[in-house]
This record gives sequence, structure tokens and C-alpha cells, in this order.
Amino acid sequence: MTKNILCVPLDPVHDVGIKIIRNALAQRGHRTELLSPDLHMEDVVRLAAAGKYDEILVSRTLGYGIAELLGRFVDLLDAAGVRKSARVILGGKAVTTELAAELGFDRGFDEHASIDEVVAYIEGRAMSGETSVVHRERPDMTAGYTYVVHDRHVAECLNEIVEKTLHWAAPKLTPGVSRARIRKELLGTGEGVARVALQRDYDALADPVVVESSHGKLPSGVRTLRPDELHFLRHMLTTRTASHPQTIRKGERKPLVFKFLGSGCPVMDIVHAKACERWGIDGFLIINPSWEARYEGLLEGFLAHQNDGTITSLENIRLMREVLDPATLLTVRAHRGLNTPETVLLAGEGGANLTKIDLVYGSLGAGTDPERLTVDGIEAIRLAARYGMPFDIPGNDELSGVPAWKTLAGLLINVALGNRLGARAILKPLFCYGPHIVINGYMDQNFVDYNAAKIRALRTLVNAPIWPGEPIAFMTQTEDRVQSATATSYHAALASSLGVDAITVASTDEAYSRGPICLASRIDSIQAMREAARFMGQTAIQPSPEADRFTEQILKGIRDTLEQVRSAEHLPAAIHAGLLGSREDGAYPGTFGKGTVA
Amino acid sequence: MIIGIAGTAKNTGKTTALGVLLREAHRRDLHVALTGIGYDGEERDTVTMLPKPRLHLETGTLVTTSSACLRVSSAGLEQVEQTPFRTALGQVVILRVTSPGLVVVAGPNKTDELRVTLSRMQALGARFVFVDGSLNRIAPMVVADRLVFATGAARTTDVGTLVAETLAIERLFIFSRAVNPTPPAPGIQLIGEDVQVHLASCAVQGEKEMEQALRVLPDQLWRIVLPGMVTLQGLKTLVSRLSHMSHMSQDTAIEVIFDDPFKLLLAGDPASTSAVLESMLPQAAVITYRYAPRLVAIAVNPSYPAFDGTVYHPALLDPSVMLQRFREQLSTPVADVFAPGGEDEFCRSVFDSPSSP
Amino acid sequence: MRALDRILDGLDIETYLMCASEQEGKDLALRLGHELNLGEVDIMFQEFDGYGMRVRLRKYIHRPGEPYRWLAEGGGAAGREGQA
Repeated sequence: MTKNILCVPLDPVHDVGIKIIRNALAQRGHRTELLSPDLHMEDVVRLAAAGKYDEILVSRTLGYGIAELLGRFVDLLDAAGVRKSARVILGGKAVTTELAAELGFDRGFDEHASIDEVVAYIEGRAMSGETSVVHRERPDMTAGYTYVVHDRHVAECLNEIVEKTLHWAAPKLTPGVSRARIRKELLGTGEGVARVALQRDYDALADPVVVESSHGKLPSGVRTLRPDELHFLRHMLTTRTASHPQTIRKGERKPLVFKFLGSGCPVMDIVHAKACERWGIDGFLIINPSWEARYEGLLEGFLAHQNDGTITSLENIRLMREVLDPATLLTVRAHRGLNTPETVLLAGEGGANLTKIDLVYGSLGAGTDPERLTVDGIEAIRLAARYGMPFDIPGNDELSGVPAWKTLAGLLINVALGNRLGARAILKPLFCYGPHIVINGYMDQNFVDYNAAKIRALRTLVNAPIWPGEPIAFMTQTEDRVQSATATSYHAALASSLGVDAITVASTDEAYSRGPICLASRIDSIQAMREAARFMGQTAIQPSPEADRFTEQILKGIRDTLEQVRSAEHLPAAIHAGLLGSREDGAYPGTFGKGTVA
Repeated sequence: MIIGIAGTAKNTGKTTALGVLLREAHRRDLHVALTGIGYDGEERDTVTMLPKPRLHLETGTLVTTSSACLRVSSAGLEQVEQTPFRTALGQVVILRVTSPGLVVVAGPNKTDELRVTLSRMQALGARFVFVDGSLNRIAPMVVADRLVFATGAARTTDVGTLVAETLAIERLFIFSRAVNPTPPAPGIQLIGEDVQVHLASCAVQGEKEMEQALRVLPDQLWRIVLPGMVTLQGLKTLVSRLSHMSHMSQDTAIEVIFDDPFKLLLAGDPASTSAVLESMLPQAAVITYRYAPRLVAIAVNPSYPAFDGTVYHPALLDPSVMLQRFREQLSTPVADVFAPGGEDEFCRSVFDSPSSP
Repeated sequence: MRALDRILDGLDIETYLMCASEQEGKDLALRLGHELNLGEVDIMFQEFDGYGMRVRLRKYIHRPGEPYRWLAEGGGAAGREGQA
């Protein structure tokens, strides 16, 4: 039904908003009339009375004495009989529903209201102000990628490395692999004798700390969430929904924006996550405590940890998945330590969408014995394939001082393993100010060229999704709020320019290590990114010709590295030999789980 | 009996005055109902962010609110009827208080809808229905039988100006009801030997409309009917035309009928409007209203929110000085509900006022 | 002299308040000012997201033209007071 609409700008300052809405309404076929902003109120009323309008839109910013002005305006419309047939709507900064009601308007819209909301109200469609993010579809980052390795030489190297490594690993068994298998059975077994037996087998392969926890004695700093905590959390989430959900990107579908959670407490994580969802975040990674990597076996239950890292128990993962919007992605990290296959299993069972596996970094920078992690990692990749979960490969080796090309070579090895085992990998090069980069001055001129070169090099070699992290702008941020948010936003703009599939971003607390991340700090970096997207739009940051030089350098480095690795006996041997990161670089093969490979 | 409580501005003590009347009604065991033309009862003022009094209602009171405000009210409430009217806060419903407590009052904001709501509440047994004003809004108060104006330092801290304005308002309510008024028409009607109706503009009588209507006058003009809204300029034009006419032979004064005092109140600031009408020679015209509530009381409030450029702080003018200066000039009973005896004075003037002037 | 007196001009509070509505959030923000013994504060920025509200509150300590408590000492410990 088309309506007669009168648009009345009562602001002495030019108001663009009402013009935009007027255009939108006119486009939809309504008869609209826009008055000039300098009319006397009585003349406006006269025109309103003469025109037989259905809706009268008034735009006015609130301020001292303005309420009375608007109240009188509504009165004049009433006195002139206009209220018999027209609805009066107020729009402007700081206009609330309560204020609109107090002033006698039929409806009020503040500066956050979308054009759609206003149009929907005028057209009588049921659209409330509080819409949740139900219309999003869950994105698949890996869709459309072929995983073909373009470079023949590189492909050959990777094939050989994969062959040798799989051959070596095939007959091997570790407590990690065994526990994952037992756990799978346990999940499918009810109470009874069989279950008890399985649990005993599990315990035999687990550390005393973990065994004790399953018998009620949790490690210090860990506690079970109380039922009332969960109850109140669930209640709060059913009574509150996202208000005016935002998007970070300006109409694009890439890059997806991820944040990591890991305050230690699932409740705190969830409140952060739900708010961040509303502010535009597409997915979350759960960062687990670093000590989890050192113990054989995983804890169970709704657990809170009073330090960095949220325990990735099945219950915690399920809870997270349940409360997050179905379109939001959830990643559980499993790339380090003694529990990688079991963690991937729990991720899959818990409904997570992605996981994180890296056979190279996990042993080179994160402390796990290379043999152990290779066997475990292969099983983990198999499990990821079984659950249909893509896995990202974090190139964090660079943070120790390893040159980018060695790190990226390591990423490619993981991709190749994934290809062979049926799991889809996602490359995660860092956008960081890493030690090797600093020492060699690669980012002295700008932060654009070297980061762009990494992406270009990878794209030259393989057709696979790329997800810089974790986070982007790593090592460029200080504790200063504005600097930190700005660093994130520029790196995000670069990522967008390069067309990557996703990014992980930090909060403005990133550089501060003495306490957990606060939600306000997360929101601040989101705001900065949204502004960058608004500013850049479809345009791109242009790398300089230096980026080409860097790209060539990295490509050569990757080829040389892979050539060396293929000559090694297998992957663990290559890692021990320092081919993917040496002691001089600052990388040391890990020792957790040494000697546990049978 | 419908009692309207209007304010000349925000924070003039309207809600406080209403609260006093509600308590008195309860003391007198009267069956009361309460509605409003906006939204009241909120804990913090939506503009100044200072705490606002909230309305306490007793068991048995009928009250309207909107669906969004139900969960914030602490009184026990049972829904009696849903009205077909919507406001920015949702559907307007009529409720009965089942256990005393605080209620957020919200009612229909259009005159016609208010009328229907009032008749429903009266049909449900309410003997006294209070209509709570909102801000400085007055147009829908045309539905009231008796009217209270709340004014005070929140309108202006200059007591002289305040008294003058209130006096002007009082003067606009002095005109009597038209006896046997001509049935309403869409335009200005000139009643003389023959009836002339001008449809130039039916809703707003401004300078142009008045000039056009009064250009050719019938013989023996004895009545002018001005419907709807009038502007100050329109009134000036009317007055000048009429005083011109009085030089011509005219035996009796012409009756000028406005819809109600609120249309005149809305023409401009009360002092100017009153001055313009007074400049009209009494021999020339007599003003009447198609309908007029009786102004039964003025409630003065010496406290106000002082604005320092950033935030509001509560402040106070001298209460006894204000009260005295008001009483010196106005003939309507004036009360300060916080002064000694003020509550009683106020209630008596509202409840015990004679039914007809 | 209090540390507060050494604030040149203003004090900002950046935080996130749990609340069920925009109105409740504003209410809490203003109350926070009082609870922190700052008295009346301005809400410079507020955005309610459905779960809570991101706010920036400001308290002006020294406005231009008002007496500056930090001026007497030269703005630092260089004066007599700062000898210890």
C-alpha cells in the first residue's frame, strides 16, 4: 500500500538522514514530500493539514529546550486535526522510544536505526528493533579451493616428504593416539562394566593429575562451574538478544573476522563472544591453557580455570557451540602438546567447525617432541577429515626467529598431509613484526610489502584458503589503546586488500600480559576495523615494487627448504636437523612426549 | 468527572501534584482511574537524567499503560481490557490495581483515542478520571471537565514573567462556553443575515485565511466561528478587522467562537495571545468557546533542574515569595503542595470546586 | 594535594556495563560516577549492544578559566612540596 509521506526537517543544521530515508521511501513507490528546514512550525502544520498525509516524519536532534518544541509541534498537529489520519514519527540523535512516547509521537528512531527499520515501520511490516543475527549463513572458508600445488618442483618435494613421513608413522603408536581412540569409545559407551574398563585403560595412559581430576580432585586453579552459574548464563542469553547487530565489512564477504577467547572461564568467554558477535565478529578460537599440552590426558566437565586459557573439555566446547549463533564459526586449537588427536576428537564431537593442527610449529616452537607430534598430528588430521573439519596451520615459528620461508614451507607440508589424508587445510601465515624480519630490516620501510609478499608467495605455490593470524599486527602493538586499535585496523585493511579469506584480530589489550582481556578493548579494535573498512571500501592498499623482490626471496627460500626436507628421512628428522628452523634461528625441537612413540 | 493535569514545561511538578490528588481520592474512597497523554512514572527523567517521582496507586484504581511498561511496574495489576490504540511503547491496555505499588502510566496520545479510552474507564465504574499531561503538551486536554495547570521555576526562574504568563493563561480560560453554538463546519463560518462558510483552509486559521474570510462580510454579522488551530497572526488580523468594523454601525458585539481554550493557548505564547485579545474592544466582540474545561487550580513548583552547560542539578527559588506573588495577581486558587497546608488547599480546589461556574 | 588535583583537565573511564536496556545502561553509568566519588559524569559515548553497554564517561576536573589546582606548584614536584 503506497503512502503519502511528509518529511519535516526541524533541524537548523542540515540533516542528511531524513533525505536518505525520503529517497528510500520514494524508491519504494511512496508519495513523498520533503519540506525545507526553515519553515515556521505553523506553516508546516498548515501543509500537513492540507496534504492529507498518512505519515509525518520529523527529524530533530535533541537538546536543551527541544523537547518542549517538539511537544508543541505534536499539539499543533492535534489541534489542526492532522492526528486523526496521520502518524507522526520522530527521528534524530538521542531519540528514545520513551522520549517519543512522552512527546506524543507514534514512534521514535535514534541515529542507530537502519533505513530498513524505518521503512518497515511505515509499511506496517513486523520488524522489531531487536533483530538477532538469524539471517547469516555459516561460511565455508575452504569452498572453491582446489588445493592444487601449482609448482611442479614444490609438488614433488611435498609428495616425497609426505610419503616418507606417512610411511614412517604408519606402524607407530603413542599414548595420545591410543587415548583418542579410547575416548571415542567412551563417548559411545553407557554406564557399566565396559565403561569402567575403558576408563581404566584411559587412566593408564594419562598423567596422575588428569586421573585424579576424573575422580574429583581438580588441579589447583581449576574448578567446576556451578549449576546456578550455568542457569543464570542460559537465562541471560534467552532474555537478551543482540541489539542492532553490526557488520565490520562494508558489504564484502571476505575476510571473515575471528577473535580468540580464553579468559579461563567459559562464562566470561561466552559473554565476550555474544557481545562480539553483535559487534560483527564471524568466529572464535578457544585458546586452551598452556599446561594442557604438558599432561597426558584431558580434563572433563564444565571447567573454569583461574588463569590464561579456557579448558577445551567436551562440555565447554558444546556449551560454546550451543550459545553461539549457528552462523558463527568455532575453532578449537590442537596443534601443540600431548593431546592433539584427542582434542580434535572433542572438537568434532563438541560441534566445533574448525581445528588447528601444525606438526612443525607444534614441535619447533611449542615444545612437543617432533616424533610424538608427527604421529599424533597425522592422527589428528585423519580425525579432522572424519569430522569434516578444516584445520588451520599457524605459522608461529616466525615468532622464535625462524625466517618466513622456512615457516611457510612448514605450512605447505601440513597442507600436503591434509590433501593426502582428506582434510582441508587453511594456511595461516603471520602478519607480524617477527625477529627475523626485525633483524633483517624487512619492515623498515613499511609493513605492507613483506606481508603482501608472504601471501603472494603462497598463492604462487598452492590454491588454498589463507587466514592470517594470530593475531594480525602481532608484535606491532603497544599497550596504548589507540595505537593498538589502529595497528589492527591497518593490518585488517591490508588483509582485505590482499583478498585473504579470514583474519584473526586482537583487542587493544594485546600487548598487556598481566591480566585477562577486557571486552571494552575487544570492541575498540572492532570499531577501528569497521572504520578502516568504511574508509577503504572497494579500494586496496598498494604494495611497492619491493614486495615483488620479497616474494621472489620467499619463494626461493621455500623451494630450497623443501628440497632439503625431502632429503631427510622423514619430517621429524628434518625438524631435528633444523631444516625448518634451526637453533641459530632460535627454534628448538620440543621435548614433551619424548620417547613415548612406540 | 475528568480532571486534566497539564504542565507548562517539563519538571513543573505535574506528577507530584497528581500524586497528591490520587492520595486524596484514596482518602475520600473515590473510585478513580488514571490515564495519560504521554509517558510518566519513569524513575529517571529521560532528558535531564534527574530522579523523577513515580506514581503510587492503590488497590482498585484503573490505569492505562502500554505493554512495554508492564514489567517495570511494581503494583499488582490485572488486565481489564485491551484498547485498539498503539503508542511508541506498544499497545495501550486498561488495568486494575490488585495490590498497591508503583505504576508506569502511558496512554493514547491522540485526542480521539483518549476520548474513547476515558469513556471506557467511566463505563468500568471510575467516577474520577485523571488525565496526566506530558511535558508542555495540552491539546488533548480538551477532553477534561476540570483542569489543573502545574507551573513553576522549571518554566522560567523569573517569577515576574512566570506570574504574567500564568495570568495570561488564566485569562484565556475566563471566556465562557458558547450558548447554542452553530454546528461545526470545515471552515470559518460567518453568521449574519446569511451564513457564509470559507473553505480556504479548514485546519489552520492564519493571517491569510482570516483576511480572505473577513474580506466580504454579511450584513448584520453576529457570529464568527473559527474551527481548529489559530495562529497569533491570524488573531491579530481578526482583531484589527473587527475593530475596523466597530467604526461602522454595529449594535451588538459579535460572538467569536473558538473550539476550546487550548487552541488559543497554542496560537503563540500566552502573554502575547492574551494581549492581542484584550486589545479587542469589548463592544466589538465577545469570545466564547465551543467547549471549555474549568481551570480549577494552579500548582506552583519553586524547584527546578538547573543546567550548568553539561549536566542538570536540582535547585530552588524562594517558595513563599513565589506563592505570594502568584496569589496577588491570579483569581484561580494557587497552591504549593509542599507549603504548610498546601496539599489541603490544592485538593479542595480540585475536588470541591463548584460544578458550574 | 590529591592526585586528582594534578589531572590537567579531564578523566575518562572506558568500560563495558552489563545491562538489559539502554536506559538501564545510562542509569548505571551515571551511578558509577557517584560510586567512584566523581559526582556527576558525562556520558561521552554509549552504545548498547543487547547484552550490555560500551561507555566512555568523562569527568571534567579542571575546566578552562577555572582555578587550576595544579598551577600553584608549577604542575609538578619542582616546587617546595616535591623535595622529599
